Amino acid sequence: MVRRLVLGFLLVWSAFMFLAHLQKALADYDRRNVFLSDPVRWRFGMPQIDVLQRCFAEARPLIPPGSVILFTSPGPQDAELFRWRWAAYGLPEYDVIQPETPRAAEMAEYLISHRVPIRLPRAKLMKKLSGCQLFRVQPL
Amino acid sequence: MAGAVMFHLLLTAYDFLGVRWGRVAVVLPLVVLAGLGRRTARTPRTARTLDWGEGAALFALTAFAAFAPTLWIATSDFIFHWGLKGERFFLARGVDYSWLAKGWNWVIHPDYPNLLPELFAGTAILEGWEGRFEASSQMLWSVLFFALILVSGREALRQTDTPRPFAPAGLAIAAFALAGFGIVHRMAGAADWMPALALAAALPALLRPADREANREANREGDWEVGIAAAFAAASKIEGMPLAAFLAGVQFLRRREMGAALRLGLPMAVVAGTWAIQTFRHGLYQKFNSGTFDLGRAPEVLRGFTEVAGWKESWHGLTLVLLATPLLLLPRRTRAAGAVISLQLLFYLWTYLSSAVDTEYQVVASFPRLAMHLFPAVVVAGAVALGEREGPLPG
Repeated sequence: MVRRLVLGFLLVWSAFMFLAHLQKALADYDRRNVFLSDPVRWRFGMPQIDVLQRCFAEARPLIPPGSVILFTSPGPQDAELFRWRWAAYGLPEYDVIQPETPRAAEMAEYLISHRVPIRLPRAKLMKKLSGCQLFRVQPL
Repeated sequence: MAGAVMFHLLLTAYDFLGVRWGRVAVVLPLVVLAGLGRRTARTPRTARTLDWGEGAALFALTAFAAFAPTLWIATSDFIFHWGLKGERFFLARGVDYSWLAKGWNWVIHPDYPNLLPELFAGTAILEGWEGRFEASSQMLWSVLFFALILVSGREALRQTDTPRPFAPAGLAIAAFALAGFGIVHRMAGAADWMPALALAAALPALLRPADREANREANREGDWEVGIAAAFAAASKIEGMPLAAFLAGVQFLRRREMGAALRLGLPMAVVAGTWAIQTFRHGLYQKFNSGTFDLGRAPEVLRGFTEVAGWKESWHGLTLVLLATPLLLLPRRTRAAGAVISLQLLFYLWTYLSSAVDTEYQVVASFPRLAMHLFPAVVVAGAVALGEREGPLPG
């Protein structure tokens, strides 16, 4: 009898967990259009991902595959890191680096500035894109 | 699973030979191998309806399957790691070792085994007229792995003649917990389904008596089942490497035959060996994978485990079920499975006590996913153990 009770208890527990998580996921899904600034919590389908994807779609025809792109998106360190990783995922045919990458200034051929416009002496603005700016970086 | 291992070895061979992955190169050898392969004995079919455990499992699986292709529950590791690799390999038509070796790519774990990105790349090669990488299609691999975990669990319960209500309850608990965790912890596109599947798929053989007097043919089949599960684990994640060794090692201790050693060890050795050659040849191994073992980290590890076991966390406290793992060592039937699960748990504990980074953070960030590798096997083996005395005794 105790064995059946143990299993029954676990069954109720797991069923409750499943239903609670399903309900939470559905509620979150209904709120997917809310703008979240923290990129740790970004998911596909959120407005900020759409902005990034539009930026990359517009940049792609202007950059030869295999180029090294410096992606800048200043902010708190974690946020910057996660935005960089989203950029790497969105631009798989390129080598996407961030300013903290060793020798980034030497390697970069193009620069995508996301959110915050930047000015660099060696970076020549190629085009303003949706939510970002594309620069050609002059060799050192 | 055997097909996935063959697929991995085929693509690995192409990488060694410098052959680019293409539709014909990917599909033709697999079709030929499938044609040459020996068919395993089919389970006799009996017309019957789903029992309530299977129905519950199907419901949980369907909920996960409905969510997965929306990408809403796609794991962040798909973006930061697995999916990026998959698309890069698809574009390069091979594992792009020179890209993996670039200094800034330490963040994507360049030394991890590549089966999942290879499956993603293979899917992309076959998609559309010219091939294209569609993230939503790739999520279906997780649905498939989840389904196979449930099928393996059901098979283990069937082969052990676990009586009602233990068999349906065991299956339902595993399904509800995996689906709930998979949805809330965003596990679509993750590799963690694969070690969980490897362990679940080895369960029928691990739960079967394996002494010399037992059916010789069943023993050989069991060796292959465990051997292929071990190879699959080794190809899936770096944590799958020790799991593979534990699976093959524990089963070998039960079998103690030279033929068994080959069947258990050869598939895993080929997978691990080719991985090691490519990893060290291209300088991919990351030093931060392990630090110095220090028992002084135990309080931090404990704090991490306590946090993960909280009611409000993604497992809703169900990780506590893993504490029952040592009890699986008591019944003879579940001893081998209990040994493998215990060894893997101890390995996770050892990695945390050897953590080269913030230990508590590492436990909190990774243990929910690592628990997923073991949870379905613990529940299914636990249901077998609980039901054993109430049902027929093992032969």
